[in-house]
Amino acid sequence: MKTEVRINVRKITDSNTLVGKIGGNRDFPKFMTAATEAPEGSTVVFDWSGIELATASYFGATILPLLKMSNVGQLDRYFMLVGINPDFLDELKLVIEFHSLAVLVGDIGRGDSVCNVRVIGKLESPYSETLDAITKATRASASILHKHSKKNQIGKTGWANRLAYLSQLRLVKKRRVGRELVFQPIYGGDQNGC
Amino acid sequence: MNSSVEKPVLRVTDIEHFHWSLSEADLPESTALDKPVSLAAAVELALIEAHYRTLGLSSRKFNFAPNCSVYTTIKAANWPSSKKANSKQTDDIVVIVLPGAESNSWWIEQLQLLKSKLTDNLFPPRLATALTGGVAEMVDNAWLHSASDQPALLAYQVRNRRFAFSVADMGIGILRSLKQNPKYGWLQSSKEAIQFAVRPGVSSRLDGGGMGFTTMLKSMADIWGNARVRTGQASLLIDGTQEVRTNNFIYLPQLPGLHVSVRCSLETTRNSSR
Repeated sequence: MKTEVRINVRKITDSNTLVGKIGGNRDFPKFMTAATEAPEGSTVVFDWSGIELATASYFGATILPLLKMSNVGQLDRYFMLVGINPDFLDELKLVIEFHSLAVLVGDIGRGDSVCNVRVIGKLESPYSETLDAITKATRASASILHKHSKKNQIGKTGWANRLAYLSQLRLVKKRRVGRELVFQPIYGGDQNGC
Repeated sequence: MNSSVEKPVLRVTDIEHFHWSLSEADLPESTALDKPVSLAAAVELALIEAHYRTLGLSSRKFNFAPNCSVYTTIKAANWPSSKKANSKQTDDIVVIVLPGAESNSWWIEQLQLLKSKLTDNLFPPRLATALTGGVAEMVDNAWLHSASDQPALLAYQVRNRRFAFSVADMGIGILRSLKQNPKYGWLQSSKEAIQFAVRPGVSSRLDGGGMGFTTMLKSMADIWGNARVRTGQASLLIDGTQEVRTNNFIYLPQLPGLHVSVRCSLETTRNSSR
């Protein structure tokens, strides 16, 4: 099953200038349709390359509701935004941080590959470290992280709590393997192309 | 007469004084100024004039800036009578009578034009993008919150490393708009309403939003300039011409609608006088 679906934002909105709440409300169904057409549990990668201007209100009316729905379990998709022009990346940060959310963003490198994947939003260092650990390990459980951690003061429960929080923010995928919960990054594509 | 003596220039504060006088019905019959007024002052004048026209009062008294090119351009655009998409340009001044939000492709073209004018006038691409976004958000606010049948007005002026814009609408103003949201039903004054409206996440809508002013103010956060928000009986001047940005409120006579004006420059650094 396809686990990552890339959506070209310029193509679905038919514009390179995406501004305002009115514009966002108008385009939200296009984002929603694209997300729901992706398989359940998959990662929807919104590709913003070619967009020259987007404002906080637009993000607030399009991406924000999708992230909220995903976080409360109403929409079983993971989201990642790539190719956002640095000229307006702060507009996304503004909305994400104001609503205490977090989302993965990445750049587009050679051959259209995704690279420099990072988190936008307020994520305290213990959670960032845990996300890094999961990304490096490709997949891991709390007990594996505990076993391989150099910080032995963090118990298995500590790792489990951190992973649960990242899972709630939809920054890692969770699945049950036997009696254990195993976590993996939401994006497994090429990250070395920048 | 000594030609080096400058004739008076009408400024926003002067407009406010005129408006104050008007409410006391003692405005002079006409006052002509030879020097062009600022963009913000001309738009404010047009807004006051339009407002009094809706009240059935003569606009003859307001003809005190006949030689102002911004004012002349606004007049030519026929605001607020014209309800069609209408753009007038004189030299570096663009005045747009804004159609409804449904004219999306036309509006996007205008924004792209503005952005390219800013980059042509030596605004770095990132700043040009941010300022264009700020203008877009102020117009979006007018469409979303003015609750008026009358079109809003956008006027802007781009010069070498300088930019000024004004967005005016004849709607219900920030106080009445915010009070539609039960969360802000307790607000009593325009001053309080402006104070809240410029904060992120504050909106008259229950479905969120409220990022427009934040986008606009962030766009000019690092450069010399100021922004003015005028609605109801108050005006907030956000002064970014000094090292530390300051907010100053002025109480004024009632003015329906909202007028947001911004001017900024890359020529001048903060904490230095102009």
